[in-house]
Amino acid sequence: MSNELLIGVLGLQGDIEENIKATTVALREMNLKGKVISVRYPDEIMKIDGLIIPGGESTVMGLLISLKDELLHAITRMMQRGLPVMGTCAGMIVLAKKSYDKVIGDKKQLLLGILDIEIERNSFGRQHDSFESDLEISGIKNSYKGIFIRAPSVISVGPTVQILSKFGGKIVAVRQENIIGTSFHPELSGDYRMHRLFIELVTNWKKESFQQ
Amino acid sequence: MAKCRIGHASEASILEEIGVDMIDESEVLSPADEGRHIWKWNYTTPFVNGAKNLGEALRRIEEGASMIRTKGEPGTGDVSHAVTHIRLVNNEITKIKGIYNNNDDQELIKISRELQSSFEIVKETARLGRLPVVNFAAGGISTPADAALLMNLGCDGIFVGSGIFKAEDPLERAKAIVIATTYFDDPKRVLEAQKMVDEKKSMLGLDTKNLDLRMQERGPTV
Repeated sequence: MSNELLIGVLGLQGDIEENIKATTVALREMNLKGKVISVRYPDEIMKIDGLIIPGGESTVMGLLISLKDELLHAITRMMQRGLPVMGTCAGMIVLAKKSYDKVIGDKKQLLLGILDIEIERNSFGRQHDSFESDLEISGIKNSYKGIFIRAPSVISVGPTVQILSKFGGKIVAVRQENIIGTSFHPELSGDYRMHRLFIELVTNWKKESFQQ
Repeated sequence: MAKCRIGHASEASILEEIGVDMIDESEVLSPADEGRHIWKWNYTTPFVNGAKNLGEALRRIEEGASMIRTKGEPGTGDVSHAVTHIRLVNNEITKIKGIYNNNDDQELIKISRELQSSFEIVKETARLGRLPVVNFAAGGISTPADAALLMNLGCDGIFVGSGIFKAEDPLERAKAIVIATTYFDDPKRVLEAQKMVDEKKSMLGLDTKNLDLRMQERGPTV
């Protein structure tokens, strides 16, 4: 096994290039060797050390994940093994157990159902109500600029889920073991500490699986 | 996403008031102002504008557009116009990128005058080697293979309107075009997508040669 980290960004739809860039910069900031690639096929999923599911449109992403059983199975199999995954905005929705839309109500969309949270989509309003705000995030020193674009929020969490951040009484960042979910877009703020937090999980998981 | 007429600031305000997610200042509707586009910085709702070439794209971005699309020729099922527009933008960017790499600001200033855009945005585009905002293909796309073709030319995404809504198999076609867009560089997947649609159910497009009015020609020239 090589020392170099291989991090995948799910390359189906959404903020793919932005996340590749953010993760590449974060690796450099941490003085770590690694490669960041866009992943769309099961064999690519099977060889990565960490996966980012980017922001975009969660219904579309769900449809594209479930198009072929192999891709869906590869993601769930790797996550059962503890693969670190960060889902941002739509990516967090895709990971969640349950979701409903504040505007439309129940959406029959495919969710991976691995992150034990319930999501409210469009929780802060429509596109037009998108905003930026400073956040306190546990594990990150000083404030962090959260960029919320037609963002979801977490309305309830299971017993194994740790709340990392709240904004206006709503939960906007969570962690469940090796899974991180954020309502905001950490790839767009120019501050890559959220990606660094994720890379720490990746490094630890890789070390653990190497020792076993 | 909803359309307003080119230059019609009040229509745009109404759409913003309704709460639409995005406004398309579109040449498909009769332009309301033949001299100017909307000053889009006045809105919090993001705008998309059409562009046939780099100058148009940069001028729209300077007015506040957060997304660009090719104009193509809508309603025709003729993809060639969208292809022409994206190629032109790509070629112009390749050219200014080369000049940027030679550190020739004087030449970039000359080009920015030709493009009727600011030196700053021309230089930034040249540095990035792409438009500073996403650029989608639009106007005349009707098959999964069309979508793949334009993605392979470097578009960031695809808009399809009548190509889906005027087809007889809209649901399957929409899904197939999404698949072809996602796996544009994988001929096996594009073939699978293409097999999902029936050529006989494609939209019966307008004949571009006999159009009385070409949408792409409408609106202000600057």
